[in-house]
Amino acid sequence: VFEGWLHGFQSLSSPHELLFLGLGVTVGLFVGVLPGLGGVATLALITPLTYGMSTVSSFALAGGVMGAVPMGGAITAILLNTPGHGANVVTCLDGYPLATQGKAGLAIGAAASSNAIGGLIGAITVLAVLPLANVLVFAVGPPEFFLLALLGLLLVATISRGRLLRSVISAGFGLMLATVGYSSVTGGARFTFGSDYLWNGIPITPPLIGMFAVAEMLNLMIKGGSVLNTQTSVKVTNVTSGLVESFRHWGTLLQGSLIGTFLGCIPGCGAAVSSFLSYSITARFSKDPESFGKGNIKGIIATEAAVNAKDGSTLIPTLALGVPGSAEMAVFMGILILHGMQPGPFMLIGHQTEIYSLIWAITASCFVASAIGLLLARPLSKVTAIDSQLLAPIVIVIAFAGSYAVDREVDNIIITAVFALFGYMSIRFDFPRIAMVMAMVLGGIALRSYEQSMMISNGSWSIFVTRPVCMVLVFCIIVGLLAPILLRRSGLRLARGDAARPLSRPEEVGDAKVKLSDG
Amino acid sequence: MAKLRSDLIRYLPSVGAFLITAAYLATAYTYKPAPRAMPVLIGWSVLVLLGLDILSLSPTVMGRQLTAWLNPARNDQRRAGLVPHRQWIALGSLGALTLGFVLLGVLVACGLYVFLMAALFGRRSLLTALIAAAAVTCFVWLMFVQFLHVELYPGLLFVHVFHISE
Repeated sequence: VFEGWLHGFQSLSSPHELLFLGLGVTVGLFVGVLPGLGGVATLALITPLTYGMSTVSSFALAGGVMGAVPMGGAITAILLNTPGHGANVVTCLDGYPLATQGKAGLAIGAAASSNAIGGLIGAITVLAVLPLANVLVFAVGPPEFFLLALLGLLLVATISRGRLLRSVISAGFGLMLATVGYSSVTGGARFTFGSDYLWNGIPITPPLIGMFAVAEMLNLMIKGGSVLNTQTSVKVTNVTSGLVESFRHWGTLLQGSLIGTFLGCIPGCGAAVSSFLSYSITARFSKDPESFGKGNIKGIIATEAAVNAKDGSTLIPTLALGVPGSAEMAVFMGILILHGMQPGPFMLIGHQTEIYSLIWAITASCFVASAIGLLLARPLSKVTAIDSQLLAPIVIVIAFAGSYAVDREVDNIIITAVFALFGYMSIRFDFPRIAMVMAMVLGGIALRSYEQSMMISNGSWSIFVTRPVCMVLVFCIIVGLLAPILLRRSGLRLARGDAARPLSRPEEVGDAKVKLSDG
Repeated sequence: MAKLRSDLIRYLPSVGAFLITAAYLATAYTYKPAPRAMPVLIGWSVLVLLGLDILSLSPTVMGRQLTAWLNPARNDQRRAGLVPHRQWIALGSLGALTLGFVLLGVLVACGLYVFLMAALFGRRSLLTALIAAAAVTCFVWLMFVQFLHVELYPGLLFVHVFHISE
């Protein structure tokens, strides 16, 4: 195991890979400050760029992006009350009040150190748990994969809180798209309409680029103006005190990191859920709950630690089981597939060095992003002022060119455009895109595993309840089904109680300057 | 008239999705029993869910109850401030860009699109638009052709009319 860690570290520490890591961190920071784009769209955008790179270089680039985006988003959340993506919404709650009190530096410093420590704790967890995942090679078969995918699909419904029906409809559409192509299990092509391009199913990368990168830019272009509508002057001072502050509240830091780590292991449980839960638990059990939402530094520490700890632990279901732990991971799976890797138990045996370099890359990027973020806090905030009429066309053409470059297919461009339209319509009419993407990825696994299971059991469904791991998964599915009802009840109780601030919907936070992406 | 239009827009996505699903289901039934089993199951499930969604949009007691239970955070007025012509221009330009990529190739379409969008839609000066277009085209060429060694698509027009090889 230690040899694997060491090899991973060595392969990442060459100047070439460090350059890509630095590039990823820089891109991640810049994109992180743009509301809506976030890690999902950025990963979708860089996926085709990794074509032709070595696997470790692509992982360094992707890891850099994944680790840096939350830090970029935290900076604008604190300085401008403009969250970079869903998870940063909670950072606004206490970050912006601190900024208005002239303590922006304190808040950014705390966010940076919490980010780095949270990322480190998440990475240590993965490093510790991942080797044990080899055992799964012999314990997990088609029935378990089907149930895991089913569990992931059920959790999709919880991604967009308050939009259960439309989430499930979007997931249904994702499943429908997953059925396109030739089925090697049942034989025969489905919904290909004679097209060779669709024979292997709809490729995952062009739809992702269309639905996130292009659709988000279209939305920005239609809204007009810049990402940030008003120029706000910002003061960034007292950063060092902020760095120390996280260590002073080490209990909150550890609690947030552990919550993020735990939730990251559950497929479909995104960064937004981790940050909301970490924040609400910290506020609820604080001696001074009234101060939350008015500029309590613990609010930032709990949130940022959870967000970055989740990044590492999300790799566990993604790499060990082939079930993407989050939307980012669904896109990241595209990079893995592009480099000839099939995520799942066997990947842990064949690609240990690459996997460990990825974990090191994410860990390093958390620290590098925090350091660069501190240095570039002020200039970064100006990215939000770039006119969308200039920014959007540039991003769109790069996305289109990238989509073509995935496998040099002109059809990719058409698919990207169709899914961009689909993505924009989803934003416009409030259908969560993330549910569709997760279902597209999980749908392939679910369909294949279901059909294989049926073949193994001669059509008997008992295979899903007689194997030990299956029984555990069935139990998890039942819990997953009951959880929304229980959470709803506890949420009602919380609302009746003495919560410092309502935490019902991300869109309610701040001045509602931005439309939050469901990505 | 305005109310009717707004009602139509409200129902349009769900009804459209319903029709797409119905077509999917009809196609699924043309396959043999084994390959169609899952598509049929998924198709019918989505149809039922879309039926519920359409019902939840109706101004009835059941509609309101369904919304409260299944979609409490739905916000159909989310884009109330939308300027329709900007939407059509943006979506139309996306179609034109796609056509441009296929006919004129990646590099030409990239430059042309950025130039036209910056100059016409973004109301930038011709010089600014030109600089932006040139910079992006250079970036795409450097990144993909030089750095990643990806041959960019030259476009149908150049392949067939000017006989430039792919």
